[in-house]
Amino acid sequence: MSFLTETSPAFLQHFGEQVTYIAANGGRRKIVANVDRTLPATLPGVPAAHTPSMVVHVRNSRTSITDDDYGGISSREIDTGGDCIEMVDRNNKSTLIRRRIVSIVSVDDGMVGLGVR
Amino acid sequence: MANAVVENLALRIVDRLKTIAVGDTYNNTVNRVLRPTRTDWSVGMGIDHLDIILEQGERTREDELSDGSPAAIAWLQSFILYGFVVLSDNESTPVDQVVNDFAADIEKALTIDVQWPDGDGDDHLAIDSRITSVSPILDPAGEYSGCIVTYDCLIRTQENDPRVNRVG
Repeated sequence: MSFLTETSPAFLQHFGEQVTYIAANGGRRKIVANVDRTLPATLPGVPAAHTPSMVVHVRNSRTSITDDDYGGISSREIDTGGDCIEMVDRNNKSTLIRRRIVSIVSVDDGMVGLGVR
Repeated sequence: MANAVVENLALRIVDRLKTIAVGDTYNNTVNRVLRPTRTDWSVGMGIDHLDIILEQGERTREDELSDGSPAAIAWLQSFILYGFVVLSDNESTPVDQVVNDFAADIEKALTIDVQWPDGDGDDHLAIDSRITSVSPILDPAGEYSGCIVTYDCLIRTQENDPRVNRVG
């Protein structure tokens, strides 16, 4: 087992929040993720539109090596353009928003970073 | 107080776009038709497959069609419609084919009824309307695609009260 795989649950335990992964095929499950909420940015190709561009970091595996709460999404199962993430819109707010996963921005043995619009 | 004429026109365009649904007339079902609020733009709104965002563009005066007392002022009001397409990794249909199909539905919704938005009697809000351009949304990262439809409407309002429609 690699260092990256072993340490990913620690990051999630300290900094994570619960989100829901909604697969394009209809399956959904609660997982823990580190969500980077960046400032709104101009949508490329749409000059007048500004939207948030979030990066959601999850464990790069459906299952956890410690307990089931920290299972994530295997990079092999992700369907960018089809899958969605449901999360609160800002930290400590209760309103749930559903956003589409549009890209994989980083991937290693332990974690996968998902671009979410 | 009544809405400004141009606001009523925008509302009517939104209502018409919301009728896009799979059936005899259209091939797609629109997801959302949005006129974003400030917070929509800044924090709350993402984009999704088959969303349409309606943005109001410039309004320029048309002196040739302005006359009367009190004066009726003709305006060319531009609207910009963004139609978004976000496709799955498993989608084998060419992106342009999906965009063309969605753009066709948007164009059809704007033009399918020759009485709209020109309309008849008290209900007509524009002297003329036309689609002036359809261009692609080009996202270098390939996260989404779509079309930008520019739609111009020629309206006429009372100079001293833009809420009064003077098309007739």
